[in-house]
Amino acid sequence: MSVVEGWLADTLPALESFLSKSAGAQTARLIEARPLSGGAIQENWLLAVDFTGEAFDGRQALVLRTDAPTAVAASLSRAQEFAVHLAAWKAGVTVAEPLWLCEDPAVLGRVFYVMRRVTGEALGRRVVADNDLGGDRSALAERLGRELARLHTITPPHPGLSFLEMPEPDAAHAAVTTCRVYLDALGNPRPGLEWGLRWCEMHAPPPGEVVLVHQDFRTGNYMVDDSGLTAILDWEFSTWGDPMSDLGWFCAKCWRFSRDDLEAGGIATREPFYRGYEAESGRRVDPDRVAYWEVMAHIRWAVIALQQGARTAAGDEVSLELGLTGRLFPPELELTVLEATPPANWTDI
Amino acid sequence: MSNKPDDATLLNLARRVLHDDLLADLPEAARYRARMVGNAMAIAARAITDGGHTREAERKALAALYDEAPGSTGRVDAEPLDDAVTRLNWWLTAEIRAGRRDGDAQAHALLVECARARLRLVNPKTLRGRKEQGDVHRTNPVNPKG
Repeated sequence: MSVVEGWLADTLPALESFLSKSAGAQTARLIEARPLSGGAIQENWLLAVDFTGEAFDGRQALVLRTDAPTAVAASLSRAQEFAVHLAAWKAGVTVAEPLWLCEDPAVLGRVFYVMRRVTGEALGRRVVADNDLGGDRSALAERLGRELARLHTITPPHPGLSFLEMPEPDAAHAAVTTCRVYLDALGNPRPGLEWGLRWCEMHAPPPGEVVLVHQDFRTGNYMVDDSGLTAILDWEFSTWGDPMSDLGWFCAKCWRFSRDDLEAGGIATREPFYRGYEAESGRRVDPDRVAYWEVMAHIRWAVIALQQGARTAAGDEVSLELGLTGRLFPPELELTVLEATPPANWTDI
Repeated sequence: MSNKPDDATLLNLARRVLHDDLLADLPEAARYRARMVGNAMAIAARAITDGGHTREAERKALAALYDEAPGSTGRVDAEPLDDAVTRLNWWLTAEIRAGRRDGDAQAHALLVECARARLRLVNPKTLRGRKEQGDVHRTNPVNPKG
């Protein structure tokens, strides 16, 4: 007997037909479909599918990813995310194998894509707190550095990623502008964040290399099992940018989950993470650039948290989690930004 | 009419029941949500106890930055508290963006104090271990989501 929960149950024949056609199988039967906890922006469904014939013959564990009813301004569409996910897969990044994109509204009524299921734990506070997860922590940090380096081999122009806009005039100033636009749209003054943005505007590193950046590469967005990394997750914020911005986001204080002493994502010191990155990329880590992007990371996360809170306040998506995010995190992020940009740190003014 | 225990005390009592009695009986999957409920109750209880004092302090600090101290121009006295704080914060925001407060120690001190005061209301445990203003940074984690 099959167990298909929620609204997916109403789509069975169309979904099964799409799956069998995509897999080149004779038949596909959905045995189980249940929602996975996770993103506020997407819905993820765990599928068990019995295929007959060809490469997928037998029971396959898959994940179907589609839009939640609402989405934040900064994220990619599912079709675009699939393209980024595929590019990362081809570049050798450890991700769940992306399989099929469906843009035909007749199937689910929403765009979705299907990937192979990968198991592991992603929850940041668990990964940081439970030393049995992820294998040797220093090796995990080095591996994550290597993963990031592989992602950063993808450079523009790229045939599958022509929808991504190039940052104007450069990644740092583009980030300042984007945050200001979002803050203005939120409609409440945040002078603490403005202070940080002005500092970022005045102290922006000169334009450098432009590569594909993940933009949410941090503890909480990769999965591990007992032996190590199983997958890098959540590609919806990816864009062209400064490679050092991903390193800054990973090391930012706000993603260390109560292990402030372990500056690489709460799991290790920076040294193995940087070492892995440098060894794989042949690029030197620029600590000044990383430090700059760490300031920007706190501003950007504060803006996203405020946007999430505003969605609940406006009634767009009533959620205690989003509401709390909008209230709990911005003041501390703001304080971290202010402490990192004291008057003494304003140079060349 | 008796209002004892007061509203904040009631909320705190309810929260204690949630944490001390109910949480252990809840399945693991429900605990995260129950903690969020407790967090929301704590924020509301602290806001009630604060009674607008933090907002008032923010107005005074902002008004001092702009020589609008109560009694000097009369403007802030006549204006509702929230309107005054919002107006002055917009003013400061515009000045910062226009580059008129670059590296300004007075503005920075005010912003730090206001951020600390707001943090005391929403997430005071993260203030513990953070150094006082002046001893610059890198002390306490930001306590992120998930």
